[in-house]
Amino acid sequence: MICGKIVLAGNPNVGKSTVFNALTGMKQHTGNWSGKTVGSAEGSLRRKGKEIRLIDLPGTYSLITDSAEEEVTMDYLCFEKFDGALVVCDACCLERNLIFAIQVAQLVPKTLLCVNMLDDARKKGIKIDIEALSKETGLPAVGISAANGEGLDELEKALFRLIEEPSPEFVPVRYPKALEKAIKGLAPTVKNEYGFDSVYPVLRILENDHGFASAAGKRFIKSEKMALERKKLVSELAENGILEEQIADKIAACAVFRAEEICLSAVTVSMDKTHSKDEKIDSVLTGRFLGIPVMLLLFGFIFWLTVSGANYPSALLSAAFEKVGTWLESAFVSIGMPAVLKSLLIDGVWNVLSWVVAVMLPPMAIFFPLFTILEDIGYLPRVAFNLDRGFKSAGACGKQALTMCMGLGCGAVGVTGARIIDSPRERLIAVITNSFMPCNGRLPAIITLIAIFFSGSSLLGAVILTGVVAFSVLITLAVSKILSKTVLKGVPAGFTLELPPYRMPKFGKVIVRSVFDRTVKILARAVIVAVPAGVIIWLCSNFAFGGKTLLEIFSSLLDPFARLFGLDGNILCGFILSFPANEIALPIMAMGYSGGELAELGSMAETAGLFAANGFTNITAVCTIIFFLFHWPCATTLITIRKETGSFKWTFLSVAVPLITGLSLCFCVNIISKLFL
Amino acid sequence: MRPIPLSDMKKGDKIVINTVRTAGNLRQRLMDIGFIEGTTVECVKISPFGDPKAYLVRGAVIALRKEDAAEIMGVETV
Repeated sequence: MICGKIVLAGNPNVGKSTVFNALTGMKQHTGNWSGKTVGSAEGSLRRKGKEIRLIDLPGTYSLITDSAEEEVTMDYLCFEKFDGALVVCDACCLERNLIFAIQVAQLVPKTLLCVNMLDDARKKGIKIDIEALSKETGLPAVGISAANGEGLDELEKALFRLIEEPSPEFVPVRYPKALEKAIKGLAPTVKNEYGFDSVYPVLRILENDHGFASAAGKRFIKSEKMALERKKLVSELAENGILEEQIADKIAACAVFRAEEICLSAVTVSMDKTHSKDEKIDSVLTGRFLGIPVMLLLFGFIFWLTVSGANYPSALLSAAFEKVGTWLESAFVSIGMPAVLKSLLIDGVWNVLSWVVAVMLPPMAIFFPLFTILEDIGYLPRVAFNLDRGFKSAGACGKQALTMCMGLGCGAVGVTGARIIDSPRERLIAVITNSFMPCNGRLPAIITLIAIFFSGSSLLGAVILTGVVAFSVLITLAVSKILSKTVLKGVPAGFTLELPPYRMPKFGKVIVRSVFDRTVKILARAVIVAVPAGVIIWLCSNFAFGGKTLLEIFSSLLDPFARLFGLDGNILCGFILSFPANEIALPIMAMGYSGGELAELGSMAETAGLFAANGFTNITAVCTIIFFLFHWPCATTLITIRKETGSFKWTFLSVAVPLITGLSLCFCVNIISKLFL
Repeated sequence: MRPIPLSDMKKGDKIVINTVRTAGNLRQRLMDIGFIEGTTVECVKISPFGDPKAYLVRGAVIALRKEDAAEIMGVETV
């Protein structure tokens, strides 16, 4: 039996998703940075045959907003139907969190406060008196540490009580006398016209808040009566010394001071070491001389572990696939399968599939957990902090560094993540340039090319790979600058970037989550694409017209054009056919070179031989790597871009910009190499 | 004491905010975070290129660019 619906709200990065997961048993992704959750999620909390629907909303600093990310939360809380709100607060930073909690309590009569991360707070010498907090605010309050399960049982009970018992007596925020009078004066009209009982909408209407007005405008008919009433009250306020433009500030300040007041009686800081440990770590990680080199070393180290760790399992996997392949082949022969069909299944489907799994799985399974650890520790916002100066001179937002980090995992995730950037102009820059970051579908291909052509050792390979990614970051900055001087003209908008406290990651959880959730998910997509792709490529390379196969015809058509850019027809063909998923680009190229009869694709030496035999030089490899970095986003990412930008123009630009970038860079490399080498 | 902008603070400096001149969306965001008159702010980190700087405000560390921090003024505390 569903007995009610409760929304989870709170500041960004207070562990809301962790609380949600703990209550519902679901597996929403979490991470130690603001803006991790961009959409809302729904789940159920069951207890003794009763069920509560829980809705996890994206974290927000405020309900007063013009930003795309926070609009979701504001809209939901103001205009949807639900029974209560659970406001999750970070115990280490309760005062700031209460400012938001007060806004919610002004809107939702049944508000429950949940102070999370008590364990972290204790370590920092911060003590929260939950009882005092509840008494001061008039709201029910529970203290928990969601990550280790402390207090969750109490929280569950409190949630059911919230639904079953009458609304708590929230202690209202006090405003200056004249303001109180205006609020009381406007309230009946707001109730009559819009049907709101709570004080929150009255405040927003009184201060003439843009975000609220436009959201309300979509749902209610504009009320002349209310506008008149407001005008009257505003002029009365002006007579009492509060000018119209000061109203919003006064209202906000009263809430901030109220939060401060509550904390005076609910929070005690026993020692002043709250930030000292983080300061020490940060003096290295964001230090003037060490910040950038340490960042490069850290990423280089992750790449090195990925490159060197992936070799061995890759070889094992490809050997295993080959064995199963041979076994399958003889099985097919023994059941009397026609030779053509057998070749299609083995040479086409099976070989492409084994390549994708053998080459892609090991690096992903190593890279994702390592990257998740960086994310959980709270390092990513520091990357944004370190690099922001570069983004500023490019006319972009420093938070773009965060979306780029996400793009290293998956382009589509990076594009959705761009919602954390408030300015629409800067968000578009981040979306259009996001595919410059080699996602996990392309990273292993680049690793393979580096290994074949440039380095015998994995250490050198990792150094080159770090260089390749750093090069990509520089090109991202350059192209962002060009965009903000041309189609996306404008000056950088102000923004705030929160640097969360460092947290110890839960290693076991990280590995399980990143391997099973991320790796398997992305690999599954690659496999789904690899099967039909294997069929198509096999058909293309086995059906001949006038002595030439389709693949040969297609590549030879592209060849003269591709050669201008240091590539060849077959490579370009691979890129075009891998539009559904970048993972299959390299196997397609290999299959093209081998004339559709490819065996032992996973073996590095044979691949090297095959590529070299087809005129693949070091310059071709450089150009191919560059084109891997800059060509066009894969189909999934493009669909996401269309959805996020809502426009074909920007979707088109998201193809054109990387394509032009890639072609011009390849062209330059090719010309220079022709002239000097 | 003469008020100084946040952007001029050195690491370890503490000030009490007395004016927030920021306009537009950022003003609201700063209010939500607690950058209002009477709030004590400490400069705790400076990024490798000298900009942005990060400030400890009401228990949270928030980074602001030079231009944005210059709009917030405060008086030094000892």
